[in-house]
This record gives sequence, structure tokens and C-alpha cells, in this order.
Amino acid sequence: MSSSRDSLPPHAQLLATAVADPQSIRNLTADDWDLLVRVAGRAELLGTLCARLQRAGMLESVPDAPLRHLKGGLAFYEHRAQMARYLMTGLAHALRDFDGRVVLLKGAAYVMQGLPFSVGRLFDDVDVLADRTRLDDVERLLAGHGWESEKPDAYDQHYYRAWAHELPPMRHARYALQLDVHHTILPVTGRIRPVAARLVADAVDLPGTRWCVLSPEDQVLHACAHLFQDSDCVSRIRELVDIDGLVRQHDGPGFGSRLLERARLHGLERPLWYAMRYAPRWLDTPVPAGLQPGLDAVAPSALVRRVMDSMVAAALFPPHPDARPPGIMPLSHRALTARSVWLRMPPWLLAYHATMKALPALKGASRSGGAS
Amino acid sequence: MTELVGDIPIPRLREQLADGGLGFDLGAARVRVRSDVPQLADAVSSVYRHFPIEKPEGFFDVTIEVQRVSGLRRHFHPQIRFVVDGDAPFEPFPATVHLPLMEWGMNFALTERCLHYLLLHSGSVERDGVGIVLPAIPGSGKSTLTAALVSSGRYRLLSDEFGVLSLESGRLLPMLRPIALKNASIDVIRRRFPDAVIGPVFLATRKGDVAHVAPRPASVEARQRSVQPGIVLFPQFEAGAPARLETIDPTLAFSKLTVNSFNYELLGAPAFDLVARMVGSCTLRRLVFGNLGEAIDVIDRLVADRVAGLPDRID
Repeated sequence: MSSSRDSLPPHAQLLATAVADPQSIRNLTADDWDLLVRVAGRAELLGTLCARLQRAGMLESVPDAPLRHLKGGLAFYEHRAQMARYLMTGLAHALRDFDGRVVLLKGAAYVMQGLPFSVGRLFDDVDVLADRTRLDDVERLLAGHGWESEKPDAYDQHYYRAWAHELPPMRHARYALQLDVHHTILPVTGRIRPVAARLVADAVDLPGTRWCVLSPEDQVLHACAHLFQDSDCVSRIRELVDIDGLVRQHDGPGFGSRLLERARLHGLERPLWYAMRYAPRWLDTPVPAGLQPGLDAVAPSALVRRVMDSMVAAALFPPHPDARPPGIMPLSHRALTARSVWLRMPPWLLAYHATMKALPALKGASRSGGAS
Repeated sequence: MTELVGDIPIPRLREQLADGGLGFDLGAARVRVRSDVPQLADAVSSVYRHFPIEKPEGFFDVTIEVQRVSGLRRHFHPQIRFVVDGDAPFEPFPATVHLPLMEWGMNFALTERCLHYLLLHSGSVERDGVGIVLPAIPGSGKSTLTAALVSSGRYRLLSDEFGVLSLESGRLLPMLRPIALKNASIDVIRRRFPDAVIGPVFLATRKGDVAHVAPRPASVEARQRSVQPGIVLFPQFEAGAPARLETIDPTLAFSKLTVNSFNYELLGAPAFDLVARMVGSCTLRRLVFGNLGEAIDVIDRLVADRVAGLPDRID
């Protein structure tokens, strides 16, 4: 068992250990199970934990009461996965006259690929990626089949189209889940601009479907970018669990060097570095051979490393379930939120965006939810 | 000898609520409640009086808290909030609404966490080994009728909010809690059943006036005992109407039951099979009633027929 989890708070340690080392659950007391189920529920990892224990043949060692909750998490996932498959069937029909590639991202991709690590993994929406030049065609076809924008507001529409990496989220009366159509994987205003054309061009066809999925390397990098470049990391341990699952799934001869090369192409070495710092540390993720030396060259300074270590450890896991919900966000979370905004858009744009979002509130106008 | 909630001095109850919490075994689930709201102990002591107290250690299906909200506001307009596992899903409530908030919050948390049962939105009671499901359609008088049945002393309370069905056995499980009465129902039950233990009345909450009926000792003692569902009865209160039973088409009963479920869709095929078996094997009726006494008589006869194995018929 890894000792690097010892530095985590006990409730986080309990969750990380159960996810990384299913055999360890043999030693849990009833009090441990109580805390583990509550923390895993909070982290949206009940279904994932259930599937991991099942694959390790450990479900028989789980006492009845917590087992029911783990299985409930799995039932929840199965329902969502079915909703997603149903949506994708309708989407394929709506896009039957579209001759471009449509790449499934994240949860939708994992479900269609049948990746074992993603069994139990929750998701709220279906994400797809298409070439930016073909986005109008996609949007027109979707609109013709009853898909409607969630953000009818003119400014929100402008925000998404000018600065985001996706169209405003869409809904369809027939489907429970939301659809996000992306043209790249990070906001175009951000400091890192992955090569979107290569994401699409190098995607892999899913046999027997109209879909593609990102290449294995891009799949890992997308997960890293999503967590460490485009989010505040707060309570997002499940995204690190995704990275762990993807790396274990795709690792093999030459994978480490291909991953490094691909990270250089997209400018995503730093998010990958963070992922390879925390996933092995907390989830025992094996670092692909040949990756570490190349990554060390882009490591942040010792100071940044220390600051990030303490902030990420505090933020990535949900707080202890008995902790009072804070009235204000802890300093480390606020710093990480500020970091994510800083990485996402230049200050002048942030000022403009904040003003545009604040004006209607000042005027007392009622508007639908914010764009970001 | 286990201690009952009602026998514990209020100050100690208050202390336990604020410290490790109070454990309740509701039958289908174990719940741990914590609170730093002093008045809640009085209310809990009244409506949970017959429940044995469980140590707050070990595994609980749900842990909930009713917390005082800090801040300047507490001096002139004190507020409380409901918290489950560090998350506050609702806006704060006035501090006076403590027990209703605890009960609404518990309904919410049980619904979220109990994905291993099919949870129908219904009252459920038992008599002579026959489980009766009373699905809730707003204004149907489900809670009032449930309270009347159990206050008559002839029916065992399983729940006034949930029809809890085991996906494995198809049996109905108790999720035993106080019955929440609203508005005029409070006095109706109080007048008809002077022995019923009714807790404090909370005036003008978001759902109107609310008060809770304490489950009787026999229901509490039997809260681990499941029962085969035998009757599905759709109550329909109609002022002044004489009580009458009407048949209801099984497919309509099926859709009414599933639309009224908290998690039917989520559970998929096993839930479909379970409800299909239920409408196939249960006596299905709509009960129109304007008077509780008549309604109970009609249900008494329905149960007697079911127990006697008489053919399913309408008088």
C-alpha cells in the first residue's frame, strides 16, 4: 500500500484507498463504511467504487447495508448510461446527412467504447466534438430535429460563440440529458490552445457506429486538461479517477512517449504533469514508461509545486461530511477558482464578461442562468 | 432494556442531538439525526416517543442535520437549515419550523439514498397479514386516511409517505416515521381519535399548518416485519360523499403507481416487473370517501374478504 495517501485527511484517505486498493476494504469497520459511503456519495463515486470492488472480486466482503448503497450507485449509473445511449441513437439519426466526423467525448465515449473503468461513472450530459468549420451544419441539423439552446439570451449566445469551446448547451424534449457540441477541448480565450484539427483528424472510428472517439493519448490529455486547466478542482476527485482509469486502460508499449509527444503538440504538458503527480500519489496510477523524464522538464517551480500540492489536496476531495458547510469558500478553493479563471481568459476579457453579467443584475432585470 | 426516546429527559436528548446524534431504526433504513436547535428535542421526544434509541455509531443509511444558521440575522430572525453529508440542498427556514424541516429533509435524503428499494409515493399499512398501499395523489387525503386507519388501533403503520418495496422479495417494508398531517386534518384526527398522540402544531409553514402523529408502540415494535402487498387502494376524498369502492383497470393502476414513484424510472426492468406482479396479484380499488368512519368500515371489509380468500368482487 502506498504511503503517499497518509498526508490526506482521514476521510479522503479512506476514499482514495478503497478506490486504489479494493483489497483494503476487508479491514473496514462499520464506522469506516459509514464514512466511506457518505464521502463516496458526495464525490459521486459510489457507482465507480461498486464497479471497482466488483471487478476485484471484493463485493462479497462488503457488509449488506453499505453494499445496498454501492449497488444503488451502480443502478444510478446504468440509468444514466441508458439515457445517454438513447440520446445518441436520436443524435445519430439527426446527423445522418452530416458527412463530417463527430467525436464523442468523455462519458459518452467511454460508454460507447465499453471501457471497464467507466462502469459506475456518473455523467450529466453528452459531449461531442466536430470541426469548427462544420459547426453551422451540425447546429442547423440539430435545430431541424428539435434541439433547442439552453441559453436563449443574446449575450450568453455571443459569449459561447466568441469565447467558449462549445456551442451553448442544448436540450431536446425527448431526452433527459443535455447535449454539448464542442469544437475544441479548452476555451479559445485560454492560455493553452490544443490543436483542434488534429483532435478530430486523429480520432478513432468506433466500428459499427457513426461515431469516433479521441485517440487514446488525446483521451488522457482531454481528461487532464479538463481537470487541471479548465476547472477549479473543487470536489473533482472523480475526474482524477477518470485519468487513472484511462491511463491504466491505454498504457502499453510506447504509450508513454506517444503521450508526451502528443502533450507537446497540444501544449498540454503542464496539466499532464499535474495529473501524473496526483494520480500515482493517491490512486497508485502507474506512470507510463518513458513519460516522467520528459514531463519533469516542464515541471512548475518548487514554490508553485508546494502551493499547488497543499491546495489540490484540500480541494480535490469533498470536505468531511460532518463539516459544517462553509458560509464562504475556503481560501485554497478561492485561490484555485481564481487560477481556473486566470487560465481560462485574459484579464480584460474577464472584466468585460463580469461587467456584462453584472449589469442586468444591477438593473434588476431577470435573466436566465449565467454563461460561465 | 433499551431506552425509548420518550423516556429520556429532554436536556439529555438535546445534548445527544447536538453531540453524536440520535439513531433511529425505521425498519427499511437506519437514520442518524443531529441538531443544535434546542426546541427540536422537545418535538422529537413527543412524536418519536416509542422508538428505542440507537447509539449513533456504526453504519447508518442516512445522516441528516438540522442546524442553526449563524450570522447577524440570528438575533432578529433566526433561521435553520437542513444539511445532509455537508450539503445544504434547501434554502434556510425560519427557526420555528424545526420538526417539519427535519421530516421533509429526511424524506428528501431517504429518497436520494435508498435506490435499493422501489419507493412509491404512498401511505402503507398492514392488517391481518395484508399489506395495503395508499398511493398519494395531491388532495387524495392519503395521510389523513392513513392516520385514521392506524389510530383506529386495527392497522399497523408502515409509512405515511413511502410504499417501500423490496426489489428481491416484492414485499412491503416499514419506513416508520410520524405521520404528517396538514391544516384541517389535524383537528379531524384529534377529534375522532382523542388517544392519538399529536406533537406540536407548526402554524403557517410552507405547506400550511403541520402536526405529526406519533406511531403507536405496536407499529414501532413490528418495524422489522415486512408484509406481502395485498390491496392497492387509491383514496379520493370528496366532501359529503358516501364511501364507495370502484374498480380500477390494472393498466391504469400500473401507470398511477409508477408515475407516483420516486425512483421507478431509475430502477428500470426490476421495478417494472415488481409493479406488474403487484397489479396482477393485489386487489385494486378506488375509494371515494367523505367520512373517515365509513372509509375505515369499507377497508375493514376489503381486508376481511382478502383474508377469507373471497373472489375479488365489488358489492
